[in-house]
Amino acid sequence: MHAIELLIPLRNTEQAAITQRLDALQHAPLQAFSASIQAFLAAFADHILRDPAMRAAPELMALAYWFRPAALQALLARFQHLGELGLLRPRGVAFHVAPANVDSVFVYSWFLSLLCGNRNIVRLSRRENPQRDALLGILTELLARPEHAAIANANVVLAYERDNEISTALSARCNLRVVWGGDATVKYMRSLPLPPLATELVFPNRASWALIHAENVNQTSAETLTQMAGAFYNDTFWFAQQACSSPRALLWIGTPEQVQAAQSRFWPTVKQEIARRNMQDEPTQLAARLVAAHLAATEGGVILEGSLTDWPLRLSAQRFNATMRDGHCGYGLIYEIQRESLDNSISLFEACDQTVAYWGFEREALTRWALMLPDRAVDRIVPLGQALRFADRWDGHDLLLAFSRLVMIE
Amino acid sequence: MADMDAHDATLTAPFAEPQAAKAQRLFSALRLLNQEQAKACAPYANMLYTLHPTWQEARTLDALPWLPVGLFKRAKLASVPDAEIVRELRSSGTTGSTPSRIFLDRGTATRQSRALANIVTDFIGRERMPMLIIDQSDLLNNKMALGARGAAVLGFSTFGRAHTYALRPDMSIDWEKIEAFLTQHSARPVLLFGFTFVVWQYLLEVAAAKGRSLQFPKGSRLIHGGGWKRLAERKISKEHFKQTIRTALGIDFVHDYYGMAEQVGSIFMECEHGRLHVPAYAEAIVRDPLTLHPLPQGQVGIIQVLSELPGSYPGHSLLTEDIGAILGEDDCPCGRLGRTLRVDGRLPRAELRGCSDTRAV
Repeated sequence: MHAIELLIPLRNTEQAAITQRLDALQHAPLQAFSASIQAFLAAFADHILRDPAMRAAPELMALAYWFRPAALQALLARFQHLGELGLLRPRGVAFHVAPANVDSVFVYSWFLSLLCGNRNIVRLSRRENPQRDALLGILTELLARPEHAAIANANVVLAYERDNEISTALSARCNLRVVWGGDATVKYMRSLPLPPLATELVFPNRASWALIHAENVNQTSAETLTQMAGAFYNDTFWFAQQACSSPRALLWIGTPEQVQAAQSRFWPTVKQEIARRNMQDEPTQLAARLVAAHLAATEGGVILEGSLTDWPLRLSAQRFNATMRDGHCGYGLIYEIQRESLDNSISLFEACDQTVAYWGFEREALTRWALMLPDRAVDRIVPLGQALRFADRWDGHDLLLAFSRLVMIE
Repeated sequence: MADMDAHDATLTAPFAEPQAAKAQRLFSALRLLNQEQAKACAPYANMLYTLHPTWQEARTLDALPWLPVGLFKRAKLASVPDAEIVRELRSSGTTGSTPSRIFLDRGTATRQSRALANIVTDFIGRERMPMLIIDQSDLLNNKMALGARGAAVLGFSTFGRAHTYALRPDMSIDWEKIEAFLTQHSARPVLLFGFTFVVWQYLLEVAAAKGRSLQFPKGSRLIHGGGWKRLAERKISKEHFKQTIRTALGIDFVHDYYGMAEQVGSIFMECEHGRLHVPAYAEAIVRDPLTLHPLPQGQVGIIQVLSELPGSYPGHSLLTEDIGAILGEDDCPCGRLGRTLRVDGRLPRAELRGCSDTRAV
């Protein structure tokens, strides 16, 4: 068995002390949206939003913004609304398995679960990076304050090398297991038993799209087009196009002529946005894109738009097929697909598709379209520019409900 | 496949052809290879027509199409039927990543070993010296699927005799065996061969920690390759490496070489002036890392390697992820003709930032 390293509330490697901490979780009940929880989250948000050094970390700024008091009030209002379904009580102890390489996702999952009144065990990967270290530093400092003692006692963040025995032991302690990661992690964690009364939420690999109405691009003003290109840039280039919700395929709706005209307006504007933001391509990213593009081309059926060294690198395709999906490396590689109408696009979507970031469509049209999509395909349809915005409704789950237990009083 | 026997003259004299003549000859050979491979390997043809649409219009070496070397980690690319494959080479390139898979038929394997023999003997002479291999003694136990180190040891073994492995299967130094080797071969020069980081980490560092040094016969040589990545991480310079070899082993002749599993045989060996020599069967082009335009001599960029040896897979023109510069043409003081090259290292590994599994969970 590997050693566990306790990271929160205080760094510790003494195994007996860690076991004690975990045992103590059983006796640290919380109430959903309690004053102590809200005070802690407000302090956390305040700490990050006030620190000028954090401006360089937009993901952490977004995280803090998400848990600022005004946002908590909106979440509370929704929680109270859900309370009309029945009495919402915490599930108990939640065991969160965090993804190895998105620095902030574990905090969203953990804090939402905390807001619902759960005690939490959070497992981080061993991989360290500056953002993770900054986050842990802030959390350690806050949880050491006496006013947050109740929160400190109810939450444990730890790290260990992949280890069946540890993961099984932690699973045995939980009432809810939450697995963020790829398909391999989900498959692996599912092989480890849970107590009979525990439930599980999993967030495996997903893929995402941008959806643009070609004729509306052709008709729109230069100013709107610039805003739209900026929104596309944010969705596609933040997180290096490697988040589940980063669009990797771009579906154009319109006739071939309309789409061609729209592309010749849209792409130069995107390039201007890239230039305006002083963003530079990098040799390593180009190298990765070249491999992905060549892999996609082995099967034929794609057309290179522009040059191989373009950033973003554009490939026209008939479908976003398995080779393109599996081989995608992020870093600005876009598969462009054209369809005459939304109705004609239904068969393009697969179970693993998560987010569609749209531009130029009415809500009613999107609703009709969403009703026709295959069983599991597409969980989020959001305006272009909001693809990466974390939401308390994710991958088809209402997390406030999923992190709670519904008690019926009749 | 191309009739390689026609090139016997260049095969036996890998550094005798002036650059201009060589570029002309190699261009014809590689253009022919492009056409043959496009016929024999459908995925390759698809890639050419899709991503290198002007591939048939190339008139110079630097206009020929290339494949990114990392592709061989993701796609199985062969241009001969499975029955004709006699060996599969695997290289991981970077520690922990998926290995490349390279499929050799008999013709390709033969051309590779003949090319390697001609290159190496040009540096160390035709006489087979007693050979000490700086690697684990059980390295070659599985010959069908060889790792990069295994393939290199197997390839270089033909240039020595009385092969002796310096390390045990657990990579610890077998001092008795080395001493017996030295006692038996004390009068004449011997040949040492090993991967750069293995020589450093498992021989030189361990010997230094134990305060032991060895004295190999005067005129002995060390050939090493496999890249400087791990030594660069430890801030070990090439000069320091050579100096340590001199003091700890008493060896003055040290040859680094640049080569890869994707193009075995046509390696670039380092001469006594510290330059890597491109042999007649190969070419090196340095390109701008973002525009991929060919760069003039002296400028640092991404290295493209071309080789006329591969016939069973479309690996004759590869864009590597290595960084370096062309040092000269037909002008090395050692007298060898053709281009000379310096390799500075590798592009940093791309950081993965997605929500999904990292490649090694």
